[in-house]
Amino acid sequence: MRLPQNQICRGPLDRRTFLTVGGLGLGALTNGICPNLPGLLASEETIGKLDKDFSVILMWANGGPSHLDTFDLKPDAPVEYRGEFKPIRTNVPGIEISELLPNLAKMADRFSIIRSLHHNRNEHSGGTNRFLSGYTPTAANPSDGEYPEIASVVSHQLERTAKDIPLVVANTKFYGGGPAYLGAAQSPFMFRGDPNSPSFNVGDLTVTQEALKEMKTRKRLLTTFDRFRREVDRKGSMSALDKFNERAVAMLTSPRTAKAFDISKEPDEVRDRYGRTGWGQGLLLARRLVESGVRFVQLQASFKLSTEAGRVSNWDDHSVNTHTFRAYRERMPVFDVAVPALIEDLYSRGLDKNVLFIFCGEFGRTPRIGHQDKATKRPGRDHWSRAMSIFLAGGGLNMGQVVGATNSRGEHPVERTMDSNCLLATIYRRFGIDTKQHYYDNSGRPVPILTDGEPIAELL
Amino acid sequence: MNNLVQRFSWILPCVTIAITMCVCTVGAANETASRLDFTNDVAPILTKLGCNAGGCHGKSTGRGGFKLSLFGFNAHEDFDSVSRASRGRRIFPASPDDSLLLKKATMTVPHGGGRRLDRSDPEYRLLRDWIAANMPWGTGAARIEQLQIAPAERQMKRAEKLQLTATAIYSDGSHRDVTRLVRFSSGNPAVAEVGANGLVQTKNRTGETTIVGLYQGRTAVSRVITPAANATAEVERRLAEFDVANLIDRHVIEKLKLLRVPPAAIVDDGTFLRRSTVQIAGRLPTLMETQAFLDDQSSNKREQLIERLLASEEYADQFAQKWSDLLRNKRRGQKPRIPGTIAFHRWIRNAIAANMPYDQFVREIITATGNVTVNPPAQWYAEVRYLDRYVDDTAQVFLGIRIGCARCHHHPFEKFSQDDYYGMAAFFARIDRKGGAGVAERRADETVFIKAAGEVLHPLTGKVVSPRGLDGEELEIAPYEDPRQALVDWMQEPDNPYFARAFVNRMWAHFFGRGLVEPMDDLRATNPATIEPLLDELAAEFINSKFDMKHVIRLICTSNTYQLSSQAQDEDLDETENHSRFYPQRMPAEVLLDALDQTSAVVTRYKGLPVKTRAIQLPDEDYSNEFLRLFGRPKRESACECERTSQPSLAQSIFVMNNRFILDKTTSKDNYAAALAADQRSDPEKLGELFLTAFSREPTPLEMRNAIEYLASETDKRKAYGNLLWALMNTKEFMYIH
Repeated sequence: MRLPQNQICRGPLDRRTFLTVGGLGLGALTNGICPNLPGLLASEETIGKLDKDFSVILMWANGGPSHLDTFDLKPDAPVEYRGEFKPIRTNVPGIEISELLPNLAKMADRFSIIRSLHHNRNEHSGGTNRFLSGYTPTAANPSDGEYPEIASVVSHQLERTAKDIPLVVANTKFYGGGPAYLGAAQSPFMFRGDPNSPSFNVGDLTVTQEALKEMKTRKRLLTTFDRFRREVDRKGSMSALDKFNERAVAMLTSPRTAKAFDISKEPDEVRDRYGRTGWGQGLLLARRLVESGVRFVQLQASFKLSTEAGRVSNWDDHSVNTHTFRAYRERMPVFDVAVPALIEDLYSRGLDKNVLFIFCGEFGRTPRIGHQDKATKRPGRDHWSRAMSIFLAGGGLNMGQVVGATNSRGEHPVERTMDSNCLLATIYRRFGIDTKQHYYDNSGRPVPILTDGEPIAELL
Repeated sequence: MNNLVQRFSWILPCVTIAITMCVCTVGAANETASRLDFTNDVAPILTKLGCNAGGCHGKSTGRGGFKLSLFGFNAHEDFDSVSRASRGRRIFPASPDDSLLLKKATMTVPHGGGRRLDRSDPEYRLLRDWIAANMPWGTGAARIEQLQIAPAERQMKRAEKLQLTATAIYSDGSHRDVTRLVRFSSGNPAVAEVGANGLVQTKNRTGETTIVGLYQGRTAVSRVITPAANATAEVERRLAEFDVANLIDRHVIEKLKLLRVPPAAIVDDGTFLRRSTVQIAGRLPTLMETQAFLDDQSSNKREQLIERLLASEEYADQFAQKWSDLLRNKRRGQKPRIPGTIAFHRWIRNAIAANMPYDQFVREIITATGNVTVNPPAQWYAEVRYLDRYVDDTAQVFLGIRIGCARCHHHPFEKFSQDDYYGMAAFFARIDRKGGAGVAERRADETVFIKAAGEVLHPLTGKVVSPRGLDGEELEIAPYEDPRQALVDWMQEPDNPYFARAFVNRMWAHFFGRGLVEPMDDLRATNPATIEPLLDELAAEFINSKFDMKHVIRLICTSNTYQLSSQAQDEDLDETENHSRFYPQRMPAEVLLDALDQTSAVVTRYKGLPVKTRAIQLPDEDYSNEFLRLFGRPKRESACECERTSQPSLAQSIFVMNNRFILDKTTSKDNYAAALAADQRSDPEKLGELFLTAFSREPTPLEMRNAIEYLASETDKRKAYGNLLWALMNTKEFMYIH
């Protein structure tokens, strides 16, 4: 089947589509109509007014998580599709998720799942650039995105609100991500190392008391000797340099940033609740960061599998890479401790109104299970951008619902079919960023932040 | 939206007259409706209201099911969309006011684009009349051939107003006033703004700007100049006394006289040495060079310096890097590509060192065939892979034009159409490749060859497009011949308006921080050079020199214009386009890192390359270095110099303040600071040397006093000199070319 091109997410359907689907019955139709038009219109008034508090924690399952084994199970599909896992009920009637997620199942009123996004790029970096920028790169397998990822756009848009902590923080550069034509200045601040390790610290932002004294001396000397008249640079880069130097000093000397990164400040019971794992401590760190003023945290969700389960640390569960079901049996228990702990915290600390947690990858996985690995014949799933599931919690969005549905084999959306840009549009809307603004690419063409995709009405 | 409504109501009185004038040229008023013509009357309104803009219905997929051609370049398509598509639902001739087209535009029904029109607007009446007349296409009507804006040039006072008039000239010789329908924009709103109605208002500032008018795919330009208000006798004297060394100075001073802005003073020797060494050789002058140059008493020592620099190895390094950027010499993280990127870099460097004529340089790249190990320029084809990129890169790098828009739609500000684009693409239709390893974009070690035949199809008509240079003749290329040779022939014809101009403008931008045309690779009628005759004459000079690259650089660097100081009095600082002074630029990432290495005497290591390889010598983009990344080294993802950025950022500041990579340069045991600390000379002597090394000048008495005071306050001299070194290397004076 060919998916409709440039499908937008806003109902009601235009007249012609209405006529074509007219015979499908009310159920299919009402799914296309946005249930919350007044809400959507009200929020439209806020476009262009930057939200002061909204922030995002993106847990990125690089490689592409399987929707069929996590949030969109198909127990009635033929055996070569459905996989090993059974769905379980959650505390919201009608919402079912994988049996590997019993803790999450108790809090479905605090998350939402979108099952009907799709896009058109099936390779990792191209898919990542497509999914995170809203644009289709021309090159195959670009290691850096041709279009800026959403975090870079957010970084640029919020620049003037920046204080003494980075706006965007990430643990890794995404393969196929990056700031593209927005320039290196809009790259996330990268911290290295595993937040679960006792020796975790953040290189450039860590300053000992002794080093701090020296730094202040050097900065004082710089002020003494930096007498070049900045006014002669009418492009303003000299005054910007002075400004950034001041901010860097403020950031390095302010306790705020160092404290935000100092995860050892958390009581042991909190750290234990998240799980003493890379993901658990990473999400705890992310929570500390957004509480301190970071507006976009990107955590690439790498995971060390046992040798029996597979040979990769990403979510690229081809037969040649992993035994996909064993891999999920190893990952998901860790996930099911870390994510519920974060959601718990978001709600108990009142962050759920402003902090949006997202879990997803660049695409879903092939519904039909393959066994290509010659040696083991183990089960695997390949790349699948025609369907994917997005897991969301908080962010002041409507929780406790599933938006859209895929067909009986999880191959493609059949209800609320939406381009993945609709998710970007939703996030931009919450930030108050007007997506009609454009940037110039390196050939001088104006490229709007988004050309299509509209906020997902059910969520707003 | 409010703005639009206000604007309309403000000009309403004169609008009625304008519209009446329009229709009068077409027919008598009472026959207006039946004579209305879609192309001449209706389409311009859709453009003026912004209906066919890229963010609205002009988007390639339309919006809300209604699709118009971008900026209205395809009237047939738009006629169909408006009057026929969707079973004619947008129009209702029996009751024109109930037409969806008008109800949407007036927001009578919800419209994502908001209210674009009031019922009282003349545009509304015209659209309604056209619908009531059953949407005539208007066969046989004359078509627009030219747009004129009057006056074409005007000297104006500050805060003065000027009403432009725009006239469309048609194929039958008739013309009409289209001022109200033209989209005006100002090239430099800081000098003068223009309203939607064509009313120009100058600001309180000396300068020049173009006012561009766009109407029905035609453009016209008017230039507005605001000279300095009160030129004193002192200003006149400095203008009169400026020495003309060569053609550059002649044109620049002529322009400055027009603007009545005085040229800055000629810069001192130390600053000139630093500026020209950094820009020609990509490095700081050494201490010995500085001392020798300052001591040199010969009257032509600056010319001699330029010759020395042009003959140096580092000149080749510097420009090999520039062309490696533009020609996207890129490894993409693939080891098998390294032999190719190194070979290509070597080839470029040798060509620059040997001063290969530019026409030959370009021909060898564009017409490259074979394997990179045999013919290194074939590496260009290893990276620039698809038909559209051949065209886009060739145009942007060698012709200085951005033609990519025309791949999908008519260029919004230029005459280029899809026909032109695919005519260019047809030159590349016979390229093929074989062999090699790796996937798609990353193949290594492949062989580029020319097939016997190959053609390009027009995306709209599906017809074969013949190879054709812009504005050139359609060519027929015999089987087995390489059409790319014909492309290069066309590029290098003496009257080609792009090839030589693009190169000299690129060089101008390299040295002066901005092109005569800016952006430097956006040459077009609607974006003229700040000093057009200068660009013309430089280009002619380049052609006459048989495309001698060094000749152009020599002309630039021995001009007095190049020797002007970056400093000026406050009232002259606003002049930022006509080179009354030197505009400072931050050093490129690699040059800055090499400068830090040279000054601190601590070398940076690059994986897989010999010790003491400098950053400027890196052959491809893949030698990972956090400093280079943060300070704007391009990834060579595009053919634009703009990909390299010199903008400061917070991450840079944090990096220089607290990253070991930088701190090690000022604290390591065997660096320059340690040497100074161990040196037995007096502190003033050593400080004199430190300043000469970092800034190519002696310290001022105040600087000397401050430095000595600081040294006295620290017991650890090595640390003290290290901190001083750090401070000097992070000043603007150090980081900028000035």
